[in-house]
Amino acid sequence: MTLIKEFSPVTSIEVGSHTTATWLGMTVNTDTIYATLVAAVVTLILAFVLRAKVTSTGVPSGVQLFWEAVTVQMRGQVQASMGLSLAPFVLPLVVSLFVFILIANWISVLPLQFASAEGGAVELLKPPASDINFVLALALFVFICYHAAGFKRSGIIGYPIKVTKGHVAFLAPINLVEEIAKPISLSLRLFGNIFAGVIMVGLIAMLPSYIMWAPNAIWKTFDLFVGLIQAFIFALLTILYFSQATETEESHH
Amino acid sequence: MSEAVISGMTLLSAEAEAGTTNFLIPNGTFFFVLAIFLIVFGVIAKFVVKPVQQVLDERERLIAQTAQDNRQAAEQDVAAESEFKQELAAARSEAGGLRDQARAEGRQVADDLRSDANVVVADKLQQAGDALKVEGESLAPSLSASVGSLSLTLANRILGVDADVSKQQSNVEGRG
Repeated sequence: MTLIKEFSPVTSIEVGSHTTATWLGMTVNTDTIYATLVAAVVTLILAFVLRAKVTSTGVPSGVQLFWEAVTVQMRGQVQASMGLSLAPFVLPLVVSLFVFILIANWISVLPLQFASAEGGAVELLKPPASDINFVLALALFVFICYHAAGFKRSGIIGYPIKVTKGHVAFLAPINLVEEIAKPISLSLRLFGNIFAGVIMVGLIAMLPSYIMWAPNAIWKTFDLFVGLIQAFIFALLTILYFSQATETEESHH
Repeated sequence: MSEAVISGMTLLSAEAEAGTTNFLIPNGTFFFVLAIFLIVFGVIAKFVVKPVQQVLDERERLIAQTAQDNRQAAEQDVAAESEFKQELAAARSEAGGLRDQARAEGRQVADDLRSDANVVVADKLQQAGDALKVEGESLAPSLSASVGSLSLTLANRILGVDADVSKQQSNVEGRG
């Protein structure tokens, strides 16, 4: 990749540009879908490897240890904040979110950059979370799920009243704003972090090739950490929102 | 570096002015990404979280089972040891009893033998005494018969004179 840059140096950065196509009458960002598919395939391979070799008495494989570690960690979080029985699908949801977002973020560590015809640094596999569609899809799905869980717990009428009123009635407007802010902050937090990583890589790519490798290596290492933290925060906030939606007046202490 | 940022910014604003799509507005990608995620979610829920939870529960059960087995084994060990000690003490007291009994029997046998031997010894002594008495008695008359002559002989030798009583009487009368 460095060689390519020597032949056609990167002179500008492109922000938020996507290769697009029209599928089913909709404009789609094919690069995002491609990277999402790669992340999904990696996740599914890990899942099927576990399914094939899962054991409770023998020596667990590395893949099983990975899934066990994630499941145990998330189960602990769910149990600590809301209990497993309230919404049984929360655990698989947060495990899926964490692993899927983690792998999607870590895709960007692969050094697959090339210079576009316009001179911008382009990555073969962009982290999908640097596309607003990816983060919105996940955050809105979580939004709908936790509100559905809330409706199931507090009733068709009781739940909206509980959400709006909160603890005291006059804070209702603030509560409404908070509810709307939840999916926005959840999605934009992830988007902003990963998007910034892409911009950083683009900026670093403008450095001369004899020094570029150093900040690139440092940044990509840090990006691994950011990707892990953001995946974890996304899963953690999902649990938190579920626990807020499913708590009842009696469960306040 | 800052120039690079500025040029990037100008590129961005130029794009916006040119009326290209704003990348912060979601488009159809949303639905495709959502569909992909739902597939991943379904697979993970069915093929990962469920078996992993089963494995965790199973492991917990095995650990509890092992702990209980250990406790049972320890209890059995303690019971076996106390039983062993009990048996050992019983055997020891039995052995002591046997030893005492043997010692008593031995003493009895020795006493019996000793009393038998005493009887035999007394018998033998009696026999020997009787034999000696019979012999003495048989010898006494002959010996006592010879006492007179022997003592005469002895007296004669000592005195150097005939100490025969019958003769002596005449001698005494003759002198007197």
